Amino acid sequence: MIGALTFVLALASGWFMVRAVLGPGLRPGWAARAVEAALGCGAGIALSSVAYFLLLVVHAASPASVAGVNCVLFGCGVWLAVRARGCEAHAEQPASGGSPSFRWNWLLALALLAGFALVLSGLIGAAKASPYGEWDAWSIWNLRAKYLADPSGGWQSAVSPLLERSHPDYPLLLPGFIAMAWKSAGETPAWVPQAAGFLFLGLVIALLLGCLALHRSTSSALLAGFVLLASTSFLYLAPMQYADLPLAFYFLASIALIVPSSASGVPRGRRLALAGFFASCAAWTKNEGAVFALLMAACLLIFEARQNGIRKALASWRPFALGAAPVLVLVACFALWIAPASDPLLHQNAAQLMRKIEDFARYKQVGQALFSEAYHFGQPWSHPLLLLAILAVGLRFRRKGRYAPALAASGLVIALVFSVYLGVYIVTPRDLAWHLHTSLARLYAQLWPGVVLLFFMLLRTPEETGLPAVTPPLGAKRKIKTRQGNRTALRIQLQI
Amino acid sequence: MAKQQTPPPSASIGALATVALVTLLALFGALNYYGFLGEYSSAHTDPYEIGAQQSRFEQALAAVPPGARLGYLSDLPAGDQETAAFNIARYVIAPRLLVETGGAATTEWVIGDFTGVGSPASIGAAHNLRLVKEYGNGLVLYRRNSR
Repeated sequence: MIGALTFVLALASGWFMVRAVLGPGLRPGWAARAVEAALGCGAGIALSSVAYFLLLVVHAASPASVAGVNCVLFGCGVWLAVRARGCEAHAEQPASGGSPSFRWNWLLALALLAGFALVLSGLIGAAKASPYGEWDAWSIWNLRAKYLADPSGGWQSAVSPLLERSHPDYPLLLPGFIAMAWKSAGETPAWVPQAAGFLFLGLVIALLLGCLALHRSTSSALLAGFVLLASTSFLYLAPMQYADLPLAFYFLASIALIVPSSASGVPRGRRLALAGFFASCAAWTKNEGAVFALLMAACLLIFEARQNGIRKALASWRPFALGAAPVLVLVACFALWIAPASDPLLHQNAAQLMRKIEDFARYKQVGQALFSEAYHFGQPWSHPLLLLAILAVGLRFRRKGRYAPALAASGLVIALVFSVYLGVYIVTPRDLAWHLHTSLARLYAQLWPGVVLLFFMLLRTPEETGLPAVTPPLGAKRKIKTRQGNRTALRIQLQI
Repeated sequence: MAKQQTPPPSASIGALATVALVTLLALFGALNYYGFLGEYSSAHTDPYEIGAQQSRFEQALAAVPPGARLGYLSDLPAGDQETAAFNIARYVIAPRLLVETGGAATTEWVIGDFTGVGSPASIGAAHNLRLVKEYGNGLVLYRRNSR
């Protein structure tokens, strides 16, 4: 019970904080709430994980101190939200967009809910059948969470070099959060990592749909939901209890906050600071996250400098760096002094590396695996790539968007991160076939929500594919706005 | 000249067909995946038998001082099976740290996890270990001989 309370308190504190940062004015309301909730819960998990790790480092972790820290974080969140609400009361409320929506949204929403209900019930069945998750869950992430939650204070086992088969150098966002709930509970119930897995799946869905509804349209958001529903390899990460799903969420969160550019009602500085924070959370989740955070920072700076010159670019980039700095400093300290990198990848000499780089067979093997794993990312007749291809042909892309530079920067980051992954495969000291087989699908999954978001930001909405604009008389406007049926009838009349 | 208003846009027939096709395919996929998950779950119930291993190791752990680091000895040849057995034991025994006997770290207490071939006492003696107790099902507890 206490473990569950701490779990919920961590989520709620983040929610209030993000709500205070984002402020009012986002429409539609359901999408704004979804984005707030998703970003807030993700922030709350990261903050409580960091706080718990710091408690461990100062030898102050106990059920009481964990509860106390979470109460303080929750109090801060509520205070910030109340303070922001006070400011909102004086601020002018932006007008609602009021743009017309796709008339079949209700049907799409029902179908999407039914689809997710079906698949989630299947995934919950899989989680019940395999309560400890898949291999990496119990041999890396939850194992290290057990050490971090050790009642006798032996948390250093989680970063001990003796843990050679369980990657003691991996960062601790997920194990830290799970251990925080376990420490409060005084035991290690399997529901905590299970709940964390499904929670992150929910956060990805909510953030993706909410973000697209805010910046494109509800119909685009629902279609993106169908693409995610068909991404079976991605969905299965929830019962697996791997850190790839949290990583996918933090990648998506950072991209989702950068993409809107000037089109969002949220001040740019706040958005960039949050984007930086979520990029640093990715670095605290997995080593791939550090690559993402550094590339995101570099791409933002370069794109901004190309547009406005280096001086202005540095000034507008500062919030991102400030948002990322605290957790990145923690990650750097962790990597330098607490758990130095022990991956054999980093302990190869130049000759070994060159031999692999010059071996064409390795490139061919990686290329074949790319196709094979992409094929198995979904089911043949409902493959997410097939759905994206159908949408691209049927709806087509926008010619020019308000989001172009930010979209290009985000797209470049995803492409560069994926290139780094491929480079690692080329020089990996492990058996290449084994390495590809055990990890490539997860690497796809890490980047997949971000790719789907960018795709739908570029795609026309169903509404935008409508008939060419015609010019009804002034008096027709009221009819159009109030009744959908009248709108269709009017258009037919005008065409005739 | 009167300002003219444009009507709100509406989806084209092609777009409607696209949306319908994507929706139907995704729902078809969801239905298939649900069926697959049902079959997969019933065929993969606790595939690594971690639940069973927890009760198997329980008695041996009770005989070891709390917080003691444990060694691990197995008769499985190095490979996937041995890695799996070791990692499962490590997870079940956590938060006590389990390390492989014969490596850099030496421990006073050692868990023997055997498939039943060979005598546990003689295997232990080869590593300077005294057999403390056999718990059955291939599980034994050793203590390192003092020099």
